[in-house]
Amino acid sequence: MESANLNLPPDNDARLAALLRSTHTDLPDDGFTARVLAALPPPTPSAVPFLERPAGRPIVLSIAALAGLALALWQGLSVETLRTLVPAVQQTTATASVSVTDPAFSIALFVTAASVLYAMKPRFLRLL
Amino acid sequence: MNPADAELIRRTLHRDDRAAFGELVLRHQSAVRNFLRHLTRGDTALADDLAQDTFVSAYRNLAHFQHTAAFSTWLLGIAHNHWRNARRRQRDLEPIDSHHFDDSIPTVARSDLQHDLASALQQLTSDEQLAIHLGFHQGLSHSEIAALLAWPLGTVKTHLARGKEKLRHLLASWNPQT
Repeated sequence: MESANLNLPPDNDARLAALLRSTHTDLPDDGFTARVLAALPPPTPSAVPFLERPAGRPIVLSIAALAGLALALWQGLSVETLRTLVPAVQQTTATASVSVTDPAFSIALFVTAASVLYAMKPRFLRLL
Repeated sequence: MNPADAELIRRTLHRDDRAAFGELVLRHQSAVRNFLRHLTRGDTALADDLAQDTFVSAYRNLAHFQHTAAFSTWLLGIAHNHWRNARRRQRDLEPIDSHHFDDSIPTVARSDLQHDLASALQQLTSDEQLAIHLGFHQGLSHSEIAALLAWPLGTVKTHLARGKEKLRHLLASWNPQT
């Protein structure tokens, strides 16, 4: 039967612990890291590599905003035009809020949002 | 100063920085490979294959790493899972006990005491050996060992205590006080 003595003198315990630790040796890498890196899945190629650069997205957004503004001005955007837009926007918002109160529409919206989130999950996790 | 593991993990996740992940592998390869060599009873080729699988899995699942535990402990948990899966597959082919057993003790010259210690360790049960390895060679706390192996904390303490007790008896000739 095994000894039940689990309370041995601390000095003795420390000596054994030191002996056990002394037998542990660090393994040299010997090309192991290179082997692991070679086995990693290949990087996912970006559809638009430019957008992966830190300044890429702000530049694209700024260019798009400026192009949109230029187009609007070219089409005759004025304060008067904007005033006529306000009632139209209000009407659209009112229609949308009625649609959201429809349970079928809400469920469809929820399912769509959940699907998009699930599909984009790896990308979101990388951004966090 | 070398960046912390957390910083290397962040760089790997955000920019898919392979060099940062390589640094993580370099830092932890010895612990993972030693652990797997222990589990495979010195089968270095199998241990290194499993270690490679461990790091590839870690890379794939890095986003799921919770910083509540040390990165090294998380890696050892993955390594343990890979070893269990490999053992399960191997059981269909051959009994695990017939696996080559003994080059966990390198044949390089070592002191008589170390030789006796290695022999004594082999006389412990596999659970006691595992607890001793994780507690003393890998430096894990009792609670980390319990989490890694999914053992109750009391079981970890018992295996460590029994393992040490057996070692003291087996190595008594080296210590007149015992």
